[in-house]
Amino acid sequence: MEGKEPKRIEAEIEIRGALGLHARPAARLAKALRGLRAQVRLGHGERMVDAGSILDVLTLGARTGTRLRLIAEGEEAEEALETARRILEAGL
Amino acid sequence: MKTLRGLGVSAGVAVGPAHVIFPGHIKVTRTRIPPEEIEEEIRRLRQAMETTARNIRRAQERIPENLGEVRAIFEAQRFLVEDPSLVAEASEIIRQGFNAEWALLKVLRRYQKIFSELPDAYFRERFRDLEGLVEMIIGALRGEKPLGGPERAIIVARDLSPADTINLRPENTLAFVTEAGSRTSHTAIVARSLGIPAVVAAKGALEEISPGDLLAVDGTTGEIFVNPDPETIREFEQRERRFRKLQSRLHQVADLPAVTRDGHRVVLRANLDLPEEIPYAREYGAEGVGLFRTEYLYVAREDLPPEELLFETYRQVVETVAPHPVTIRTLDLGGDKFASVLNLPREINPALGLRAIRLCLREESLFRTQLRAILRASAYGKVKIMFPMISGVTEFLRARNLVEEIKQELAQEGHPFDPEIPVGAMIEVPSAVAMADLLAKEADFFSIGTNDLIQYTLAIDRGNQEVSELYEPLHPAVLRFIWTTVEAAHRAGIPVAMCGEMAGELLYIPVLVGLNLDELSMTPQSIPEVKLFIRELSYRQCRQVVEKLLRLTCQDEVREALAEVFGPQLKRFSKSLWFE
Repeated sequence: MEGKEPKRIEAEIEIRGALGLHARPAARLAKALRGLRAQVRLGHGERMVDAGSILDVLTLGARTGTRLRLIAEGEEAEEALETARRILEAGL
Repeated sequence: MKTLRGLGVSAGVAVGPAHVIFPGHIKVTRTRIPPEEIEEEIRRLRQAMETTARNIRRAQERIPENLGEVRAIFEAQRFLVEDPSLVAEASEIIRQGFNAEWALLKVLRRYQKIFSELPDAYFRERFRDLEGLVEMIIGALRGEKPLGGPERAIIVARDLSPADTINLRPENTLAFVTEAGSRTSHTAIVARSLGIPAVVAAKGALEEISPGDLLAVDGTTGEIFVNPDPETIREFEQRERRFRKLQSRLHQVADLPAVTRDGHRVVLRANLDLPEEIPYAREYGAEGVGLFRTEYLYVAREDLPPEELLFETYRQVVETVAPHPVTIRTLDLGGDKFASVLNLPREINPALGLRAIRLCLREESLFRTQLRAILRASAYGKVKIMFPMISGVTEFLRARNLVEEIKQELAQEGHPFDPEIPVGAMIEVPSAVAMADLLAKEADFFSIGTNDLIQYTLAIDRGNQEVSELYEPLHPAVLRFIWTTVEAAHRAGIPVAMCGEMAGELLYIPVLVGLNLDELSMTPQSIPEVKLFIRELSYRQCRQVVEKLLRLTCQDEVREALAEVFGPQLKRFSKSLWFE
């Protein structure tokens, strides 16, 4: 199998929604990542959590303006990273 | 028979047994699971989670489509129950040889610690959602039936989390009574959306009510009778019949104007806190929103809400209510709510302290943000601004000038807004009544806030049980103040509205009509009844009675005089609502 090697990519994003990364966007994120062949982790500093877990994402307590690191690994890492970025940087 | 009183947040009447949910800590026992049964135990956990997810989905489906916000709360809950971390961590503990209940509790405790350390209240409180959810899963593990059981009952609790309400079966829930809560709390929103009567902020409910007690609950007045006597039960049966009658006539009534027999028109509008309530306002026939309270977005968070969030919320309200107008009241909170953000000192007497317009004029940047949001929303419909707790002309002009400054600012930035936006003063402080003639020259309208006006006029703290009995809307002093205010406004050619509980009380309606208020604003569910009653009245007669009332010496005389003239009519009217 060529061209479908596991990848690891990273990005930094800023939370834009007025209420921060609250339950609803966290749910949307988890739902969107579910079908993708990739492991996405989200967090800052030492604390990186599974972006597919609403519970863990909520424990980041990320308010509007918080900058977070995104790490995606796996075959569909790029799509996963873009999906996550789109949701996290969306307004409201 | 005991009587409790709370805040009626969802209309309707119910009589039935109490099902009390005591604020409990989840109790589970630890059991060792032999290695050969571990996989079975994990399967049991997954099954319980699936059952819970199904219950949530079912609850979600019962919420009407137009209540997207409420549905979304359930959506987040449903995802939480399917959360991979929750499953993985609980399974891991089961693999160490423990039962599923214990495993869930362990996971819960771990998250409790993490959540409790978060600085932001919103995120800290999400732990309660998880807690409620784990409670539900443990219930499912034990094969317990969802709350509300097979029996029809009135649910009594300290507060209901989204998770709790998911568990309820609406068809078996006669009413909600909670000790905590407000008009904007989750219980209130869900109850209204399901059409279940609800009373929140009912102090002492858990102490006074035992499981199985018979309760009579009125979700409009906020009354709760514990073990009512036969007479009260009969009265509640009548109330219920009347409520059903009105419900069935809502659509007929909604389009009728509120006009007296002799052609005097009164505009009836709704008091609202949330955009989600607008459908009810419309259904009940409100001609717009006479009081949109703006505290919710400030109280729901620890920091200050950004302009965009305020703007989006106001715009949504204004657009939905158009072509009818929305009167937005600027922030009416005490400084204590922002003590941490604004670094304000604690006050000994907050009711007479730094609150409402005083706070806004002191913390100008907070006020500017809100005014910008309101003005920007005015481009999308018909908006009026009113300032709460105005005490005199200078204070009003300072606030009004700020509006003018912001108009220029927005014009320069190219934001659209309504340049003719009416700016009004709330009349709730006696000094404003004394200055009403001069204030009327500066304001575009008045709105009388009766709750505060009565409290400040009579120097009665309604929340203080020692004196709350002295709180009396029919005190002649209150009636004289309203009269003075209306006269001053009409001489200056501006309209006067009234918002506050007094406007929604049937007994007071002839008085308010006679006092010549142009607009009455109230909780939406009161509108149909008030409207039908106004259509029975004669303005000339109301006016004559009011002129007589103003010369009486005390509230007892006022009540007597009112009962004499309108008592039989009110009785007839109530009867017509039940049996027509």
